[in-house]
Amino acid sequence: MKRTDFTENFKDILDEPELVEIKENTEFKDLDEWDSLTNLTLIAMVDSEYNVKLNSDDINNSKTILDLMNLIKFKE
Amino acid sequence: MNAFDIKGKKILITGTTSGIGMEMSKHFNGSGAQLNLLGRSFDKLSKLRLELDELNYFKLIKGDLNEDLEAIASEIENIDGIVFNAGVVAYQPLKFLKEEDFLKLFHTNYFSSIFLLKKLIKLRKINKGASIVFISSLSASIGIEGTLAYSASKASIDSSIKILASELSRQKIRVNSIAPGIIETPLLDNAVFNKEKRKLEESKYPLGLGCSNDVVYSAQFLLSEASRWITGSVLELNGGYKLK
Repeated sequence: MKRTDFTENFKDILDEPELVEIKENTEFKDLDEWDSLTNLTLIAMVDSEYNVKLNSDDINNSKTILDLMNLIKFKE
Repeated sequence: MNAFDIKGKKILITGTTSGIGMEMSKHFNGSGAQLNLLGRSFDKLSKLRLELDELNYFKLIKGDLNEDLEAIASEIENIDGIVFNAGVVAYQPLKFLKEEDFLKLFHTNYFSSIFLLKKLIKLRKINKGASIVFISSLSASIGIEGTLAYSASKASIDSSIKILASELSRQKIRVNSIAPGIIETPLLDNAVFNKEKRKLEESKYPLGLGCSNDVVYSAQFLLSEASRWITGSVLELNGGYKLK
């Protein structure tokens, strides 16, 4: 997985991606837009783009974008 | 005779190898109904067999309604009642809704039941005075994020029962649905339902979350003579969710 691809895909789940900078060390749950729908959309995006099924615990246990990337790589 | 009794009635249940369908199969078997039990997995049907009382008649039918409709319909016996319980849940917000998944879910949750019913009607396997029950969902009438495909499939059921109830009333066949809120089963999808989320959801139900038997007893009522004047109705089971 290319790092830039994942950050781009992550931006895709946001309604206003132009308002934030998404980097590997971004703590995504601190984003203003983060809520239960973004959570669901992240799960659906990862399923659709990487064919990986994340669950709520996976997301609860992840802090940064890099954590998510590592998790997806692990589950791929 | 007890009007709530289903003893001796021949009843078809779909989706019998897990969750509510399995509990329903066990309870109806214990109530003396004669069952046709449909499931997709041979192994799971074999496990179900071990849970049932062999003294009461039942027939296990293995098949996938999306693939073997003709074969399944030919194996089903003449029946006095059906519970269309088979279904799957999926969480995909609009932005990442996959057309393929959407269509597949609709097939499983809606089309397969309707086409099986059509086939059984054409084969004259549904007895006069029979009762048909579809398992719908509270989500059909509210707006839970991420459940577009699932909720739309259930809303389709709630709309269809009214048309079917009209068309089949000449044969005194009744058609109703049961729309439960969250039922605690081991299958509660952990992709969405971790402990925190469960607590949050539970707080929306004045009577707490439901259990499988809440659905089973309502289905028994709708299959029994006690509900002989009820058709085209959605029976909502939601522990008071809509009161607030």
